[in-house]
Amino acid sequence: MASAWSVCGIMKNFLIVLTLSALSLMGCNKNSTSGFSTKIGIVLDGSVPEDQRDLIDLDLSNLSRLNLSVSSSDLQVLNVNSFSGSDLVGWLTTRVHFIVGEDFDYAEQASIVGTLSYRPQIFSSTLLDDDFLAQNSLVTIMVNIGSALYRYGKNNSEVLTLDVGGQRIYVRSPRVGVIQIGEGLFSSWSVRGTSSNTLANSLIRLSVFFHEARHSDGNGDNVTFPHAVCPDWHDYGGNYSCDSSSNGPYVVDSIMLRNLRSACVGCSNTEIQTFKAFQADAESRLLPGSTYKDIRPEQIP
Amino acid sequence: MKKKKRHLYFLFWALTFISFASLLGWYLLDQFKEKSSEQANFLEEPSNAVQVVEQRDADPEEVRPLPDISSEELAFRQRANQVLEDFPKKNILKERGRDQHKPPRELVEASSELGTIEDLLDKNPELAKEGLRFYRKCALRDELLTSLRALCLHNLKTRAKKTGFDKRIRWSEFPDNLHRIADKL
Repeated sequence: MASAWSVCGIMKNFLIVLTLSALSLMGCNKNSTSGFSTKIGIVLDGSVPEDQRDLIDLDLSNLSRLNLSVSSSDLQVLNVNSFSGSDLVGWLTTRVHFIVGEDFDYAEQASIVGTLSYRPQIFSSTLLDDDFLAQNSLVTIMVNIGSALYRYGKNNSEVLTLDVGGQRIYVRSPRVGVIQIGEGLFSSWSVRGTSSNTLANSLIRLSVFFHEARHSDGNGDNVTFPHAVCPDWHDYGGNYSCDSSSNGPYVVDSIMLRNLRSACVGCSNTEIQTFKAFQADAESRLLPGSTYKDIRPEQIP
Repeated sequence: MKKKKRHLYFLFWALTFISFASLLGWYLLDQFKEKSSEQANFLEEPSNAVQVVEQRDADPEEVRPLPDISSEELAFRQRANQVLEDFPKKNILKERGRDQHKPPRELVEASSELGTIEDLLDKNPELAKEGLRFYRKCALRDELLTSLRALCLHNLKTRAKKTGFDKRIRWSEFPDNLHRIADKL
């Protein structure tokens, strides 16, 4: 009899522990503080939906398996020795540390913890303000919110922290590397008539990661490699949708799309044309007279 | 007497040289004109473009001679013209609520159409000239997205080289910026 009671007691304790674990997991998902580490070390915040998490895992696995032969000028723009999986993974993980989902509320998760002791420069173009907020009201594809928060802090002489992936990080450099992804990356950007997990769609998504990762670079006026205003004659005239850097995000985009296309073995004509169309769009945004900019990131001591 | 003979001798050779030079110049000019007009006309659609007319309603006076075009070419041309009409125009980028940082979603749709056109051209070599004609029209159409026009020019270059027609196309009619983008792809 006594042993039966003890079995019941164990079961009761087990149920209590199970219930508490379930509640704590639900809680974690709600406030987006949990994190899942990918194979290459980038942390996915709990706000990234499970289906998107699986696709990102697939993308990063595909990246680590690449081994492409590319021109020396392409190597120079990315400042890597080769386009091997390990070099490309190294490049990306230097600039991207966390990926957050569309529902991640950066305003709620960010806090001001101090003021800067130096007078920041005034920038001619801002990424966070109107431009950034307008962008966030749309279907999100991908945004480098880490670099945007860094610029915001710098412009306002403030040091920010951000709670992401179960950690509290200090936004002291554009290399803080927090990327927000949205449904648009997996739906509106997929090649027509194909599912999100095809090789072509995976490689196209990777090119977007590399574009956003370039926003984690730069210093001074060029910190975060901000986009320039397109001239009136341009398709995107009047918008901050062009680049005046010959090693800026759109050039990185173009280089990655061209080289990743060569890894798309057995891809259909439609997939190849989609790669080329996206590359043409990126190339069209490079302004005449663009110059090579210093990629070294600045850092608040 | 000897001096006069020398003058005549000189005159003879001078006239021979001038005649030869004129003939050569005439020939070269003719060749250049022929090449330019050939390049200009190469991908032009014939003036008697086909119009679909219900036979019972057709006025006998309006019936024109059928151009030298196969039914496959005609079907391709009609499809290509429809694709061109449906291609995204620059003005869509002015619509409110668009993320201007990433390519428009309409470009994904257009790529799908271009993929189908490429499939057709791969499977039907007899459509080569129609394909070149379509890509030329697309690359010249100013109201289309620049990225799309550049992709059409790229496809035109690739197909023209493949089919050996590259010397017969007037490449100077396309803007430099379009060439720059097309050559990067």
